[in-house]
Amino acid sequence: MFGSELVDAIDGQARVHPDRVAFCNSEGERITYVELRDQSNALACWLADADHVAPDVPVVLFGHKSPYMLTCILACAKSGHPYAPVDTVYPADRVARIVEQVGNTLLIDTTATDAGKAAAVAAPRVSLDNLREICAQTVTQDAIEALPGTGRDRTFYILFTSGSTGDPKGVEITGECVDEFSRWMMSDYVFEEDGVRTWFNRTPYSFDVSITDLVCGTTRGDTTFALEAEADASLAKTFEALADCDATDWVSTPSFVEQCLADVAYDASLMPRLKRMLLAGETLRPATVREVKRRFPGIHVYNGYGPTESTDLVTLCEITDEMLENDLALPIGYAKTGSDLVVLDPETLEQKPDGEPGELFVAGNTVARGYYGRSDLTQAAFGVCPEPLAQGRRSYRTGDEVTREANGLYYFHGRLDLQIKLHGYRIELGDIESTLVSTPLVHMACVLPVVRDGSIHHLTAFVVPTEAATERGLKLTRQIKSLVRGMLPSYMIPRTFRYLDEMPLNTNGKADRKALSALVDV
Amino acid sequence: MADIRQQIIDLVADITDEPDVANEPDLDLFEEEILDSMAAIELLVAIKDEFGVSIAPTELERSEMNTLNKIVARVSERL
Repeated sequence: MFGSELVDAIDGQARVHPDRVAFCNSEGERITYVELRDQSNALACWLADADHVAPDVPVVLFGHKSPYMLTCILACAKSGHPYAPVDTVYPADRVARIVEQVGNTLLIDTTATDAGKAAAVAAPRVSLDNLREICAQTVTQDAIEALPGTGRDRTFYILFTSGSTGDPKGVEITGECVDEFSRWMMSDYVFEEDGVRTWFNRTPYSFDVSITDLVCGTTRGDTTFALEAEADASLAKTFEALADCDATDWVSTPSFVEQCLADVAYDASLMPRLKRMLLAGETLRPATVREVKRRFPGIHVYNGYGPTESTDLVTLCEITDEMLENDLALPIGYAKTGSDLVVLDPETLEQKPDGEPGELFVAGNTVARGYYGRSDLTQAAFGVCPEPLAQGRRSYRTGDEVTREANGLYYFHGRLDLQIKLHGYRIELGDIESTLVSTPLVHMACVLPVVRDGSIHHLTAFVVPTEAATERGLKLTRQIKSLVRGMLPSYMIPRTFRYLDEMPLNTNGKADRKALSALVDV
Repeated sequence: MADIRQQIIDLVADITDEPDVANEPDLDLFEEEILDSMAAIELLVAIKDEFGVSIAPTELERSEMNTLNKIVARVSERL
């Protein structure tokens, strides 16, 4: 009735299992399906009032793992507003820039503690106290039925990701993308079986892996358990939460699993019901899967891959024992139903035969509309794939180098540009570099990933300091880090800095990354 | 003791890629983004390999091993 299969499915659960917990977190907050329906209806009616926010414009949702995030997501869809989730890990400056890009429309703040960051924005703000009051209001059936809802052609969410020039860019995902992604996941991953499942969620709603949790965890009336940031900082608290949540299904990055595996207590006795693990967001190492299978006998481990610009995942497969025996690198999966994955020569745009590496282009029913308010960026990345290969459908140029094998499995090799994934976080190196040179201490900067054991270990920055920088070494590093801390989330701050008198340049007059990476490998 | 200290300095410098940590033994390594949760676990693995001292990641809170001096103390008391 709201024009979204996902939203209607979640509301449907409120009729069938009203008192079942839809979402809970390690702080003990929880929401049932009927509460989720009623609260989101109340908030949607408030949002549908043009005195509160103009119709159709995006609404920024600021928060982390509060059940209110889920309420707000549904309310936005029901009232016809795209939502733009912004996580509390972002510093105030980045929050303000995203809110400004969205048009300073309205910000809903679901946090009690991080009010400072969200309070600085120019947009009107709904505080947690206001939000509680609005959600508790009783609304009439007539008002609910009059809600505009969303639709397949409308923007469902706008997810901001690192942009190469230092400004985050907002990926616009439509209702069609969400529903088609949802259908695929429900048929190819979430198989029908008896019993309520509990989904362990570690990713905040502002990162696209979370759409997988949202879709899988709620469509069938399951329970999602989210790990709060406080527990995240302490592995002891994380393990307590893992034991308490008793999850059957796990979704995270490989790095988080590796972190847990470092403790012998992470095994089937800690999480006896754990049956499935879906890993995505970065390279999955065979050793990680072998160890998971040893600790959790009988577990099914899946590897997935996809860009934010095509709704989280476009490939998926179970990692079999055969793959672990034969392969040095694990496949990222088979192509999603409804998507055409095309491997092309990045220069000539000619199709590459199976077994040969090339750039991956994705076409099909989960490709984003583009970048919000940035037709220049949209034109460069969308619709580039030659029409016949894209079957006349919208396509996205990923910048990822992959190979398709004759058996239909895809393998990921790396990036063709300066975008990287560090522990699952998508980062444009240019974003960090332009932030560094915006400080008075840095004249020139070049940031490089340091690779160990086949995956990105940390970032290092080569810096030519300005005359204002009187210190060198760790002292200067600390000064620069303290300056950028207010501008970049912590995962984007390079761990180490090296200082140069001059930046080595290539023939184009740009920083010579090859020469610098030779210094990193020593 | 001096030996253990130097060995630990070398381990931390190697894992964090930051040789200058030796000069700032009371610097909060997490706050300065020199150590993160992944690097902290690598350090515990390296300590086990080097000293045979096994510290489970769930055993210690960040505040108990956030400086070079504290890391030296935690290893020394277990040797």
